[in-house]
Amino acid sequence: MKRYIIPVFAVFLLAFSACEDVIDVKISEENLNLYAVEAKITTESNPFVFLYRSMKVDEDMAYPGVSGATVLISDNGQPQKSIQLKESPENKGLYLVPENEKFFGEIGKKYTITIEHDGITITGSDQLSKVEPVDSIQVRPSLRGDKRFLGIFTNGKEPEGVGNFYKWDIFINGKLLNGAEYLFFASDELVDGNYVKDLEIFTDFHDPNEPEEKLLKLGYSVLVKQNSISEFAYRYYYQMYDQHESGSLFSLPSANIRSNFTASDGKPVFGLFTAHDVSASNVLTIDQTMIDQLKD
Amino acid sequence: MKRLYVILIFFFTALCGSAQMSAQLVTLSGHIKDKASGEALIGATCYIPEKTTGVISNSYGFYSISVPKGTYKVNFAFIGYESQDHVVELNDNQQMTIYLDEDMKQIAEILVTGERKDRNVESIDMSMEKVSVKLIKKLPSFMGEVDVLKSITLLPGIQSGGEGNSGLYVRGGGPDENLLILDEAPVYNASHLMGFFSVFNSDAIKDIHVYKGGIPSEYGGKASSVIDIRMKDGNSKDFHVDAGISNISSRLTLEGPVIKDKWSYIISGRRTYADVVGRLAGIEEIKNSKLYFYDLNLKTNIQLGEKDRIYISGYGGDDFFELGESIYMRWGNLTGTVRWNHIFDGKLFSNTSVIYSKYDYNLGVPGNNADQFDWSSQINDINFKEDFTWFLDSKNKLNFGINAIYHHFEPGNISTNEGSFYSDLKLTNYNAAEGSLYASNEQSIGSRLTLKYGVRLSYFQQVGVGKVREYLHPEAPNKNEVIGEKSYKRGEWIDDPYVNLEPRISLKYTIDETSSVKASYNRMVQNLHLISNTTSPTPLDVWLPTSKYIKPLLADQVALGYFRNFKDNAFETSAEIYYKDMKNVLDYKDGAELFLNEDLETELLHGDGYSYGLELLMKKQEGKITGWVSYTLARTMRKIPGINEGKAYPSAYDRTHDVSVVINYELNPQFTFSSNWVFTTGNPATYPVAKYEVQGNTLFYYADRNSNRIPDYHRLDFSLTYNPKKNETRKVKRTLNLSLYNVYARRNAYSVTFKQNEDNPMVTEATRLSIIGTVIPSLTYNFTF
Repeated sequence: MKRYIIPVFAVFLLAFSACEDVIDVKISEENLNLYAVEAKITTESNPFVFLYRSMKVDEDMAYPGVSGATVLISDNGQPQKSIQLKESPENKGLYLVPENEKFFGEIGKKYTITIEHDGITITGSDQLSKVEPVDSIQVRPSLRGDKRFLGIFTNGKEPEGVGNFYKWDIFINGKLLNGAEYLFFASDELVDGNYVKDLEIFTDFHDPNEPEEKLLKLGYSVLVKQNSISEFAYRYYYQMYDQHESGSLFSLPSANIRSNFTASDGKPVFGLFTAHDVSASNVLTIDQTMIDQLKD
Repeated sequence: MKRLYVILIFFFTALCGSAQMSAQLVTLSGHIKDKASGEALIGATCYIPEKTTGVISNSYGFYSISVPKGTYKVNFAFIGYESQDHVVELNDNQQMTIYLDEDMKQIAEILVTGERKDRNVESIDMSMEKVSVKLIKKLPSFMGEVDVLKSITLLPGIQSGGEGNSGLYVRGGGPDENLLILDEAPVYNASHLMGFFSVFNSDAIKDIHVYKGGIPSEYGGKASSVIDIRMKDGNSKDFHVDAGISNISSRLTLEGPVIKDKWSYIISGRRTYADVVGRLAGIEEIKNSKLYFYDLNLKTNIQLGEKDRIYISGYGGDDFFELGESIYMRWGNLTGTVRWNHIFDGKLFSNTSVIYSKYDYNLGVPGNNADQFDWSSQINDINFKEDFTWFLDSKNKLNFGINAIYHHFEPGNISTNEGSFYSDLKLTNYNAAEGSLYASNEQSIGSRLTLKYGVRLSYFQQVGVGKVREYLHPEAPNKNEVIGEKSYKRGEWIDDPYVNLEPRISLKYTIDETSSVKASYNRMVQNLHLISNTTSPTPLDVWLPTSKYIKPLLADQVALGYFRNFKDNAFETSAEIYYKDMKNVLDYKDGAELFLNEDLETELLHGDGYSYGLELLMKKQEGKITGWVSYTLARTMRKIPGINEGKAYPSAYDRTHDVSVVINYELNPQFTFSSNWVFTTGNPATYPVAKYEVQGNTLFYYADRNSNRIPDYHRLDFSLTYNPKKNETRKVKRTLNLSLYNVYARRNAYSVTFKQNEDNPMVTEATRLSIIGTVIPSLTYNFTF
């Protein structure tokens, strides 16, 4: 939960935020065209794998999916279970579980993805750990910003034993808040074995005088999924957040993020494979009583 | 060891010869002081033309000169003061305190150096600058606060980290490699308000010496530079008030005698009030917030007879930031120094110091909410120093002494209330003992050659209570490879000590009255390491001692310089080249987690670095227009296994070109115009060479570290000081200063990063962040009486 303390410092830095503008700079013209993979397996749904190529920084098109790969997901159980994914006819490079088949993740297992393409083998693994259920969520004024912004709070028990890692996915009106600035993940350092009450996982810091910009509005529904993540994924998200914040006051210098994929040709492979146990919260609808608690 | 032996033999052979010669000499000694305030004058000269010999007063204004018996005309001088000639009959050792009057004509011309005009040619010091506080007060200020640390970045070889960055980069060294001392007490975090201001209140400061190279052996502990700041002693003649009011802060200094000429004091304070002004202006966001800093300097000094003087000084300063019930943050320094000066026989001067220094911070969530916590960290030192200056004869001045420091480090504690969901945490504390012995001699050989040679022997070792983890591969600690842990009891030595020999050698060869050549070599050893992987130091960074896994940082530097003055020292020029080699430089693994980490050694990388450069300086010291132009051409590289595939890359402190132009123009006795313009090559940066996506977020792949540059930095500042016509009968003196910072409103880049366009996430844009993108005016009203 140490990760949660750092954003407190980030709030402090907001007071010193300065001006930004877009400028022209000279960047590399070379197209590395390296493989990238985004893949996920959970205990609540079938896995997916998206295989694509990296792009030049100044290219402004959708990432090109890679067709014709052989994609296999397997676990480390005895006997071993595995499934070969099939490329989606609608989305080039997106590999899914064949229709009418089911391959949900199981707690305690390690999952490995193996991708064969153009004579190159790409592999990546992740561990799926159990997550404790989220007891409840609340939407109410945040203390960050003197009760002028709404926040989302969770409640739940953190099991004893250091080494649990969490990521919270927030769905507003069914849509995932996926921006790196909304990433909320934590380890159980500092909270090991505690009942974690009123954990503020999101604050809608949008200007109260600009109601259109707000994300938490009257009548909107809020759902939170509490996911277990591996230590590798925790470190990955940590670096993803750092890279997003790079350049701001007291940020870290730009650095590469190590993927959990490797390629047989030794070239870097970008992306992340995650395995999650998922606990979904109750669904809340933002009502007037929540709004009325805000300070004018 | 053989090297030490050779140095010591050389040292004592030279001294023995001098001691024999000194048997028939008599000594004139005493202090040189400002007549109006009684303040000791540092670096004033005592010169006997008949013997063509002279000495310079030390840090306490003490001088001592030994000559054969006889009657001599002795000249005492200090820049900005009227020199005095005294005819002295010297048949026995004699003491004489000299009070010099300020030379109002010279003062009006705004003195650039605050030292004798030919100092840069005559003194053996090279790579050293003395900065006049009088000058600093005339320079353009940022938001009405003149800043001694920002001012020294206008000198060659000393670079600023830019706006929002308190770091000083001296000849390629990092921000933690500067020994910043205030009345001998180290100041571990010299920044206020996220680096916009330093902790040094110019009203309380007497004198600033900056050593970039040729560092004397009495200084040690940091690898790159010494910034020695001395507080005023307090006016021993009259009660005096100095005050100022500006946009965001006010200052007040009181000083005067308790017993005239015997016992004086100074109390100086300042406080900013951005939060108060903001509330008065009706800014809703800071209605329940605090945002300010304060400084308080105290000093008293007591003359006990002719031979003894006691100084007691202290500094305390804190930054406060509190956002209602959301968060709070506080950080601050506390220092205290007690010194006793004693003169043994007119030739031997001693200073005994006991020094305390502490830096600490707190960050947390207040109240009794579920996420309440208080995170604290601190470093504190207790330091004993014994320094001797032995004015052996007119050809030799010997400095020697000892220093013992006990360091205590608390890298991080979390404490919580009962209702908090956090648990308490206490990271392992560290203690360390640091000791040193030093000796050096400044020796004149003939009329042209002066040598200064010395050595410092430093010792560093951790002390219990403590524990040290054992790793399977101790050369590359990995937190998943812990094979054991060894505990140490209170007072027990931990592991082996680090003992280092630090030679310091300087020489000056006088070519003629107006020019000289100088050279120096010094080794510096640093055993305290600031653990920070952010682009600029933060108040939350922690200091760690040298340990089994963190080796001492070693810096060897050679420098060569040519110094030339023109037109009776009205113009001063110098050119210096240097090369610095650094060993055991720290860097960090990608994604290193440094906050509240018990196993910090597992996040570190170790390597080497080097830096070289050319520094040019031209000063105009007299006339209605004074000022200087400085230029630095430099290169600073790092080579660290694990970064950039082990290949050398430009350090974050690498600045190819650095130019400063400082001009003061006395329009008339009432108005003084001042301006500075700075230009620096853009900071090294790493731009991406490819992009990819995870969860809808664009991520980047970077190639060679620091292979790009953000846009160059340049800025022009103006100030106009109005000094109302003086009425001799009126005691109160007033000045009004108008400053414009960043006159042409350049949006200097703090950073350039790549981000998705908000409307079309497929488009990636280079985004420039500017901390200050506009002109910042300020108005300061000062008065003294």
